[in-house]
Amino acid sequence: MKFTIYRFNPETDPSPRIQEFFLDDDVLDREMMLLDALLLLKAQDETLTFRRSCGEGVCGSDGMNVNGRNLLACITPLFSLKTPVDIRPMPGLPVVRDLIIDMQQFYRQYRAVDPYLVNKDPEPEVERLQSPADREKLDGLYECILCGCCSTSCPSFWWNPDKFLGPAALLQSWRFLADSRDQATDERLANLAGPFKLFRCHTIMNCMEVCPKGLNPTRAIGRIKELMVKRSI
Amino acid sequence: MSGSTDGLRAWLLQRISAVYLAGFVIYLLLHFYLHPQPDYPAWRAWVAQPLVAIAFAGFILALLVHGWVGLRDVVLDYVHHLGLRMLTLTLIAFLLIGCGFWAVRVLILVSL
Repeated sequence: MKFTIYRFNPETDPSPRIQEFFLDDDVLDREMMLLDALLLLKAQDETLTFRRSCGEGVCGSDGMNVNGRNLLACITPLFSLKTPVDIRPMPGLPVVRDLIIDMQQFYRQYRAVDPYLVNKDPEPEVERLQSPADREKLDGLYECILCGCCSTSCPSFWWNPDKFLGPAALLQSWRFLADSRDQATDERLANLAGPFKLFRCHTIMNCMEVCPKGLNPTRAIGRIKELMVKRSI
Repeated sequence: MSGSTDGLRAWLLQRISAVYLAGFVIYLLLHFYLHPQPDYPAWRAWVAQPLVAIAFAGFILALLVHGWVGLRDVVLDYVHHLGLRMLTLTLIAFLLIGCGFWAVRVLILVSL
């Protein structure tokens, strides 16, 4: 099986290059995920660099762009991919080395939406209760693992990474706006004001298309806009 | 919520104007299909009716608003240099306002 992989070390290489790798069919099996193949390739060439941790789509470390699409290597069956498998770092953020990108900008955007519960009431004895119906509103929102597949596939994020918050952060913003226990709705909406932070989203829908957890940031962004309209009229 | 309206306002105007534009174009197509205009004087007489003229004025307004929000979006997406962005937005604004005055002039002349 043939792989073409993006190689770049900004400290020593003048420019990125594409390196070809091969894996013999006898080392492959049908159950393999792409990450397993990458580990075999790393055994061939230990300078090949990528992030990985849990290996089961929970930690969100091994987001990469494979055959033009952002995905998690650990939950992508190897034989679902067309060969040669073209592997690159996720687009739109600076490359640290090979498939590893600098996620600072992504985390800044995440922090910018205050991704935590804001509740000014005195803390109750046990816990802040929520009806099952209210809890259900958070399904499809809380599961985000911050892998960055969505934001780095979003053209609006590529164009204005410093001003547009990106789908991942906006999904989290809605996650807390939708939470019955959260009391900072006005502050959260005011924080998203202006033409950039939220309204650079043009409903391109790459985010929901690539999300490895099957979440839908586009819909969440739509809900935020709806809530803004309701609150301002 | 004050202060949060600039992005929201543009977005809402884009949607409201889109609804008007779509509705008016469908109305126009239906009208021309059901009542074909034989010649220019007939068309002129039709447009000169106050209600039709007002509907056309609304169409022009909606078109300008929709065009402004759309072009503004393109500029905000692609033009990152502040001075260049202001210049482009100003030029677009002048162009659209010019088109608006021109269209109003046409409507008034046709209605006279």
